[in-house]
Amino acid sequence: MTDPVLIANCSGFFGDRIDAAREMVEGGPIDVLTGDWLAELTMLILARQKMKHGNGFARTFMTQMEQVLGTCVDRGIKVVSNAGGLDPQGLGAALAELAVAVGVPVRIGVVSGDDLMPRVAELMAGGEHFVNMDTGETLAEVGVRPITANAYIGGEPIAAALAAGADVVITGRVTDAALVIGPAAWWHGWDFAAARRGDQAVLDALAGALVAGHVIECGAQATGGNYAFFADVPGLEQPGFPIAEVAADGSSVITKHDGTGGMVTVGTVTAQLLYEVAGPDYLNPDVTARFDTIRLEQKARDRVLVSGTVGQAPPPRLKVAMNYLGGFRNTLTIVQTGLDARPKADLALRTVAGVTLEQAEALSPSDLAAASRLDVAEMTAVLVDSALADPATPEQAQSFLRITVKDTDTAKVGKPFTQAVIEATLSSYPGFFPTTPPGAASPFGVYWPSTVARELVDVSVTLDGQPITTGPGAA
Amino acid sequence: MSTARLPLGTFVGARSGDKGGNANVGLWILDPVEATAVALAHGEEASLEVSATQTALADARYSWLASLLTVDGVRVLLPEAAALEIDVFPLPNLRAVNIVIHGLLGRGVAESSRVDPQAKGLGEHLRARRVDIPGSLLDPSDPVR
Repeated sequence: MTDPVLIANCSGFFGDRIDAAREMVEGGPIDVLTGDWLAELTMLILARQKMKHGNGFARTFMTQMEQVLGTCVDRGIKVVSNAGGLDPQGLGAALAELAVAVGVPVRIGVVSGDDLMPRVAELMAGGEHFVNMDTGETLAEVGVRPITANAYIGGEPIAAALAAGADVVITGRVTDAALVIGPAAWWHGWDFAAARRGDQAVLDALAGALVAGHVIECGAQATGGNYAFFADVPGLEQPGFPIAEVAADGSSVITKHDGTGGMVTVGTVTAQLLYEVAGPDYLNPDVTARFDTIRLEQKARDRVLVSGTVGQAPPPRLKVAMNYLGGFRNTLTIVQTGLDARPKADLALRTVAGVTLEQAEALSPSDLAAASRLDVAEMTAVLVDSALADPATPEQAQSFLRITVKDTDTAKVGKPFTQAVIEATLSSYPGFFPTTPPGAASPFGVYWPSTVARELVDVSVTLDGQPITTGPGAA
Repeated sequence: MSTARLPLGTFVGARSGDKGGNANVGLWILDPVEATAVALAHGEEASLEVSATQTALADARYSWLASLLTVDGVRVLLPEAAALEIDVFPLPNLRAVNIVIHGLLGRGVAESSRVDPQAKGLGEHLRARRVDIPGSLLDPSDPVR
């Protein structure tokens, strides 16, 4: 029986606290440093970054590596990161340069193949319709062209890269929990092929690691951040990041380094288990975890045991996240001070757009746009009626009307919209002013969740640029 | 039976977030061990043993929460979700209920016009709603817990 593997998270998203990597490496013993740098929205941001600057990876990760890569290699701490985003090879190359600069030998594994963008047309021609999981529409029906399309890959290729000798494993879009499943499976020698044959002990172990991964993937959300009973949490000005000590049977202890802020209790772990989940089946390419079997137990200060998780066969298809450019939007917020916020906001809307506040509250965005004088596809207007009676300060006196317009034509939601609002400044209700100067329209993306047949995703694993073979079905 | 009109968050925690255009909010009853776990986190000495009375109170609170958070119950607490498809998943092992509200966020965070396009505050919104809580579920030594 192998000892538990100590897997530390140092990032819950690509804007998370930069210091966390150094804190996790220097604050106590760990075996693996990991983190999540990608959210649904991040893929869209990286796509725009790639168009502008040529690289499509999360650069905050590079900043963190500049601080800790040397120490990690010295101490044998493995690094596993999805910061590759839309450009895992590019990040791998940047890290290799950094290793030379730092003067440490680093073997770099790269997991790719998640990016389906070059293959969308081919896959559609082959019968993949990319049906939207929420709406049931096919991509062809709606006639949109995605700007990102990534399959969610599991932990198996990460385990393969580590087994081949990688010190650092860079991936693109893998599931957040794969960043823990991969190193746990490598450490304990779990056999993915046995899981595919239905070996219950391996399925349970993988499911346990999946749950541990889900708990620590969002950084300090497991240690008291974003927590309902925040007043209970010590040192929440700067909570420490979480560690999962994953045992050979897949059970884990969630903890954090001594001397850091925050806390790990049954409450903080429960809260994070419930984050962004749906039914009791929690899906991953390696295994399905039954969330209705998880048991939590407080073992000591800042130590919670997660056990009992039952694993089942993974789903036959992989999830795909696509984003396409939906159009352009613009927002202006205008302030109503003191008495009669509602009639004031109503007058403003009639002046600016020829619709009433009542219409704005009753109609859908497209119907409101059609009823308005503005030449836009969608419009929303919301009154935040926040003024207090007998206000002593300006802040207590203020209510806000927020008007947003959208259209596929950037020109329509630019000047014609902001000018209609600004022209009302001296001619509408008393005290009319916007919270910000009028601005240009900004593009927005639309998320398209879908699936693809597992065998159509060509996962590739390289070590220092050389391909490693992985087992059949590894995705 | 006497009831008190109090915020749902009196002894119920919540965490919310987004999956594309859907929002989810998980609500849970504080575990009987929580007060001890918090004391330990503050560096105090405390025993992790939990009494049968404390466990019975947490179980009774969970039964009440699960009966409150039906699909129709959620529609009452969140009028903005009244016309949307809602799924409710009880997780008795965690004394938790997970709610999925389909389409609340339009077509995802980037597209949504909501002030809170990722439903970050949805859980705290629900915790602020006032509900009738049976007096037997309130802790006599600490009525706001």
